[in-house]
Amino acid sequence: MSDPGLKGETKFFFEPKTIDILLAMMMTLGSEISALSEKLDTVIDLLEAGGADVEGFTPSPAQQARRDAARKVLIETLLAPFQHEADALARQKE
Amino acid sequence: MPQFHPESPNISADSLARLRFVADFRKQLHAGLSKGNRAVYDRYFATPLDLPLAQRREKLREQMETHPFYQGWSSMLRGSQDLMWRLVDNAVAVDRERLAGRLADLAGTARGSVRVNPELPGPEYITQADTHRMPGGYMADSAPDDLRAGALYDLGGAVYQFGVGNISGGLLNDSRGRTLLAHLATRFPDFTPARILDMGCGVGHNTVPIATGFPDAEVFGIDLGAALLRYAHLRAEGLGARVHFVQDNAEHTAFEAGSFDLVVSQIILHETSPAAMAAILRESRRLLRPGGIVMHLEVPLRAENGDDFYNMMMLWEEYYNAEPNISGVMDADLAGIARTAGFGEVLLGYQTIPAAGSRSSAFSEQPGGKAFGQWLVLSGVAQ
Repeated sequence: MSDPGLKGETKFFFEPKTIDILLAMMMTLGSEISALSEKLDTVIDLLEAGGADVEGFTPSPAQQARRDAARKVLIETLLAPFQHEADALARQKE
Repeated sequence: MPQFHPESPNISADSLARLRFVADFRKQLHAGLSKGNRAVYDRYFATPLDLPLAQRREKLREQMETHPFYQGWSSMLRGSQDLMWRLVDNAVAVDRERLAGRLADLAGTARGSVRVNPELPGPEYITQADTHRMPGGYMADSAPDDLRAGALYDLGGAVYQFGVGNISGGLLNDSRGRTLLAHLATRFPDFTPARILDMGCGVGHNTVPIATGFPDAEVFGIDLGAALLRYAHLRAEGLGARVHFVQDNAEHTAFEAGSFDLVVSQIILHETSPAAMAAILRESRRLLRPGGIVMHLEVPLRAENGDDFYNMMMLWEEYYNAEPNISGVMDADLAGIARTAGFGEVLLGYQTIPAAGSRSSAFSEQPGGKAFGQWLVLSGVAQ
C-alpha cells in the first residue's frame, strides 16, 4: 500500500499487510456510516416536525424490492475486489 | 420485522436492515465467491495424497489455510456470522422484558409446560465452546425468566432463511420436523404414536410440527438449555402446539424405560461426540417400547458422497464454527450404531423435504442432486 502523498516508509504492523489495509477500510466505513447517520437524523427531525411517522413507516413491496436491489449492488460493490480474485482463480484453473 | 410466529421478538426496522445486509452478504460469499476455493484446490492442492480419508481432509485444510483467498473467504464467512450474532443479540435485548412478561402470562393457561433443572451438568461437547459461536452458548441461563438463548437461536435461524431461501422451512424453520413426518409416513404409514420424545429440541422448531401432526399424542421435548426451553414453551403455545419441555440430557434422561412410542432428534448428533452418538442411540432404545420407532435426522453430509475438496469444505463448520462432531457424523457407520443399540429394520437414507402442507415426499438410500433439498434420516424399530 504505497501512498504517493506521503514521504517516508509506511510501517505495516501485520503480516500479511492486508490486515492493516482492512483495518483502514473499516475505519473509512465507520466514518461514512457516522456521516450518514447524522444526515439521516436531520432528515428524520425535519420530517417529524412536519408530522411524519418515520419509525412507523412500512415500505410497499415495490419499495422493499428497490431496497433489496440496492443492498445487493452495495454488497457486490463491497466484495468486488474479492470477486475479481475468485474469477481470476477460476480462469487460471481452465 | 413482521412477526414470524405469534410470540417472535419485536425488532426495529434498523435491526432488520442490518440483518438483511448480513444475510445477503453471506449469500454472496457462497453464491459468487466460493468458486475461488474450488479453484485454489484444483490449481494448487488437488494432488492425491496417499493417506486415509480423514488425514487427507486434515492435510488439505492445512494446505488451504495457507492460501490468501481461502483465508479471506473464511475470515469473512466467520466474521459475518459473529456480526450476525452481535446484531441479533442487540435486536432481541430491546424486547427482553416484554417477552419475559409474555412467558409469565402463560402460567395457569398453557396447554403444554416447561420444567428446567438448573443443576443439570453440561457435557463437554456443549460446554467447551459456544456452538455456532452463539454468544453464551446453548446453556446460558442468568435468571428464572431468561429467554435470551432461545430468542438468539430463533432469530439467528430466521436470518439464515433470508439468505438461503426456504430450505429450512422459512421463518418457522420447521422443515426437519415435517421431513420426519414424511419419513414416518413413507416407512410406517399406519403408525400412530401416543407418546413422543424430541431429543435436543432447542426452541422447538421441529417439535411443533410433530406435535401438530399428531395432535392426540403426548409430546415431550428435551434440551440442555433452560433459556432455550422457556422460549420454546412460549413459542409453542403461541403456535397452538401442546408440548412439554424438560431440561434433560439425551444421553441419559430421567424418563422411564419403555415409556415412548416414537423418539426423534434433528441435527443434534453433529453437535455431540462419537461416544455421545452411541449413547443417544442406546438411550433412544431404552426409552422405546418394543416395536417403537426411532428417527434421527442429520445434515446430508456423508464422506462417501464427495471428493476430498467436498469433504474438507463440509468440515468448515467443525473447524471454525464450533460444531464439534461433523466429522464424527460424516464418517460414522450410523446404521451399525443403531443395530448395536438394539434396533432392527434399520434404514439410512435421504428424505426429500415435503412441500408445504404435504406429509409425503420421496425417500432414497442414495443422495439426490441438491444438498439441502433433503435431509439424512436414520430410522429403525426397537427390538
